[in-house]
Amino acid sequence: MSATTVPVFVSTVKPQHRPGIVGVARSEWTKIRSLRSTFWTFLVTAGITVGLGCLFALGRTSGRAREPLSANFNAAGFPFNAMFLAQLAIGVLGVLIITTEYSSGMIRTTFTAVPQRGLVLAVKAVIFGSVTFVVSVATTFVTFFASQAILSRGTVKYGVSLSSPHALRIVIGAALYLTVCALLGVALGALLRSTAAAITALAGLLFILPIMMNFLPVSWHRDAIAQWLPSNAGMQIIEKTTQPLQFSPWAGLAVFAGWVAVAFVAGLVLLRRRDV
Amino acid sequence: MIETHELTKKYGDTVAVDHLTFRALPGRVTGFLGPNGAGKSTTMRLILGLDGPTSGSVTVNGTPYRRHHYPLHEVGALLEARAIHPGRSSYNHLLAVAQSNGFGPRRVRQVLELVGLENVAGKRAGAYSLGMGQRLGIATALLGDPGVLLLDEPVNGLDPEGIIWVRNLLKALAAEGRTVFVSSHLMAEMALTADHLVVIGRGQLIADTSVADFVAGASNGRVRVSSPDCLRLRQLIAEQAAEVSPIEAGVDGESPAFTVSGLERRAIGDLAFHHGIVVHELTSEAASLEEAFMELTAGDVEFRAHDPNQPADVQVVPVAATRKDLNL
Repeated sequence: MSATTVPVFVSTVKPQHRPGIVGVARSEWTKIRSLRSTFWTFLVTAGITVGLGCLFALGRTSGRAREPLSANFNAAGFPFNAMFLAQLAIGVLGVLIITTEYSSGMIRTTFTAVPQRGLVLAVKAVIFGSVTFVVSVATTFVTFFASQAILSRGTVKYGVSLSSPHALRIVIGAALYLTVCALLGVALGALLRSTAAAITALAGLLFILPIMMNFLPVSWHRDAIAQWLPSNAGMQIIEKTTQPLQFSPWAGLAVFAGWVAVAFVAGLVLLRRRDV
Repeated sequence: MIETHELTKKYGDTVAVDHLTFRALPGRVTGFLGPNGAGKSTTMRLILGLDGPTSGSVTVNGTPYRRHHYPLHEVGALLEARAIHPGRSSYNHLLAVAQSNGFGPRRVRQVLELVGLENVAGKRAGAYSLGMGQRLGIATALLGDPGVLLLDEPVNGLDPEGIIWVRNLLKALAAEGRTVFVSSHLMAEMALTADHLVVIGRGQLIADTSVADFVAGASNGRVRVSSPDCLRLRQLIAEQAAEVSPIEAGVDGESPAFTVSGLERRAIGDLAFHHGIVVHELTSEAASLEEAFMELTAGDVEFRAHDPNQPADVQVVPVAATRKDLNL
């Protein structure tokens, strides 16, 4: 090499603020809002919750099904059984938010820009969870008022008002349930990194496991076990009364959130340790 | 400056990077060469802290990558083209990356202009060509105006104009005093772009040298001789215990020629003079970078098509063929 002097590089471009949690939050918000698929998935989730909820209400009040319902009928919570489909849609979006970063290779840019991987995952989950909760609350309120209007048609009015016992808890709780489903998707995505694997796991946990339980022998204490399953426990939040071998509403939601927390912590630990 | 020390990465029994020690210094373009599977991309991920080393260490500007407070301000990296969600526009992609390090929309527009993507910044990246993807990757690397640049095969998929643009950009960035570390399997491109070479094969360091020294070191020492009296001259040279090739007929009125190895150019000239033989051409054949590379890495290629009629060792590419292939 010739002995020419090398100029010392001095950058003229300075960051406007310190990188850290605020910068990461802005970045993750930009990522979420800049995809049209985010908007469409939220719309589908809201649409099927409201639509199926009204359909369920209609089914209970029309034609031959219109036999007298028991006094114990859970008018406020019943339409929210329709969330069985919406939970999957929002969970899949949670999965995609992280697995598409892996499939495109974007994750390496993300972790090059912010080497604190745990911070990235946590902020991603908080931002996405917050957006999901806002959309879900709007959705569950619309579902509630629309389905109760349908239930109140005819001579016997089953519909209840928001001020009736448990109604507000059920409406807010249903939104929380959808939010936890979304976060389960994020946790599974971080854990498994592959879209196909994470969606399979999501459907397995929320859908297939509860169905399989019904085919186990009763002598295996299947009901005692089944109450611990994520969706079984979480869906207690829309119940009016607590049956034996079932969690109370908030305890059930807490069990579901516990599952998600375990998956999330496992995802965090692996994320920090694994090569990307 | 990038500095690795005994850097090693194993995947199970496979050693991807094997006790690699080198430095990429500021103010010059360091070419990172190696056959496919030599460990170039793994080394790049190790430098960026994306993969953890099995043993050894690597620092950027004296600090392990993950401990930098403003990573994009220190190091800009292009690892793969089109590493972007196909549904996101390049503007939003760059904005998301910029925001994480405290940069704003103004800087995003600057780099978009720098790489010539300002007119397609709002288009979904899924519609981009490979060349546009490379430009976007380079824009991402330049976001933080870093002193160290790390680029994995940046000219892949670019048209000739794009290749010249990248070449000039890399040289200009190095001239500003930045460390430019660029991997490639295109030796000819490196000959034009790089000042210094780090060559690896099977994860091990093969050469850490200037481009000129690299070619000279691997020079084959052959001399091309052309004379109207080839038969007699060839016989005389052969008597000097040198190796001579068969005589090629001259085309377009040129004299016939042959190549000699084992005897210096000057000695051949003297020999011809003493015997009164006319010589029309006497040239040392410089090995091309490609050839030098092939010679050095012949034993270190991870994947190779097996030809049962050829000994599995050294395969020397004829110079003429190499030159033509490279369009030099």
